Amino acid sequence: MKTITYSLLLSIALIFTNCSPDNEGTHGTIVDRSEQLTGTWSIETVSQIDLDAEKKGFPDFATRVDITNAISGMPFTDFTLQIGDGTLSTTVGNSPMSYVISEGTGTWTWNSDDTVNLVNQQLGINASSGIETIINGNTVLFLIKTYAGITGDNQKLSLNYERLDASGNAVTRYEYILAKQ
Amino acid sequence: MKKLLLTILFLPTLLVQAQNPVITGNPASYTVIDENIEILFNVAGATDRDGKSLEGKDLYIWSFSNAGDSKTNGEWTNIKSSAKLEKLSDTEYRIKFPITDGVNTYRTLAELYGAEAAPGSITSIGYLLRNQAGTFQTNDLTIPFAPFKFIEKEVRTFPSQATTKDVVTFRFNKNFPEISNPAMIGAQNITLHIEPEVDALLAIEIETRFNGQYYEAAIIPAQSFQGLFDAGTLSTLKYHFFDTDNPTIQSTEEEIVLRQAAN
Repeated sequence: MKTITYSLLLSIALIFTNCSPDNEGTHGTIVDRSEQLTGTWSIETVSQIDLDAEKKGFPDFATRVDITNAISGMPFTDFTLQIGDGTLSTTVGNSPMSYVISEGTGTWTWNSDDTVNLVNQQLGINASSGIETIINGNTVLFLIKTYAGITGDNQKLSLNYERLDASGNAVTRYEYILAKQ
Repeated sequence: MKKLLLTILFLPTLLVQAQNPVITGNPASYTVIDENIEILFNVAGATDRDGKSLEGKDLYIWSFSNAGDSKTNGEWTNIKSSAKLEKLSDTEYRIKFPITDGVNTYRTLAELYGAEAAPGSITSIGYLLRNQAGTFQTNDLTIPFAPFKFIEKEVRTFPSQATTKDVVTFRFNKNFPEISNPAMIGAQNITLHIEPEVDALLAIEIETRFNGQYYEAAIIPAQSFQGLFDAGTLSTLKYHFFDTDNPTIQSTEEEIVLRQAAN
């Protein structure tokens, strides 16, 4: 079976809505990232970045476009990512995500440590960890670019995808912001 | 008497006033991502900062940018051989890209200063000429280069380079100063016409929306022209815009060559 490898950079940001004390743990508490990732995530917005324009420092209107509802009848917001305890599934709906990721189910595992110390790592920056899964025969690698915990009320997941041309050159980057349902 | 004293005091300063090399490029204008460029140094009459002539000497370049130092610098007391200028004559020297430095090759100024991922971040490049030992040097001087410039057009796509599987937004700029058909300025509703170069019968037309700057509409080529995509013949799309209420009033026509996606 032909295996397509997707490179997906996944970053997780915690949105603090106020400055109240964090009740999720005391100093030194080990937080289970898997637990924090578990849930249903829906696309909220999608930005498309012209990598050539970005390199050249062109103005924003020539570098980045919000394409969340750019294609008539194909809203990106149709896409959801369901992450369970070792399981993962995607629902593409009418979204254009079918040109990025398959709809289906799979299992996933962290490919490095699945815990992070909130105190020692200042809400955790771990550029090398990630989760790996296979959906409908396609190997999908989600790389955690930055990890800031997702314990707030307004949880966001940022997933970056770079489109490669036939020569392997990255030509376009898509930045998906997903909200936890 | 006072004037005489001042003249005597400042005479040594005047005598060692350094003359700077004159830099030209081949091509005359280049950006930091242009390959195969040459930077020429004319040192006729040029001096180091002590006023000594540079002509005929073995010269090395020590250069630096706001994004980082040249990868051919090495240590001040041990400058790399790759920093040596090629002597064309006693007064003409040059740097020619690509520059080979051991196993590394730098094709562009951006690569030379380690800014290939964000060449737009380079805003200034400085240099000095010196000998290998560093016992003489010029003052700090500047290497000129052309900045990146976004050139507005009447019609264009976003992104500038796209694969068949990308979202491609087609844009019409009604306020473009040199608009090809001034009648388009009066259009109240504007439609996008797209046709594959290989089969005009498959043309599609989409009503645009105004985003405050452009009239635009987007497609995913692989979805809009699925038959050609499945057949592997989806490549070039020609497009123009027209007045929805009077289709004979049209913009200029452009085309986008789509790349094949690897993922």
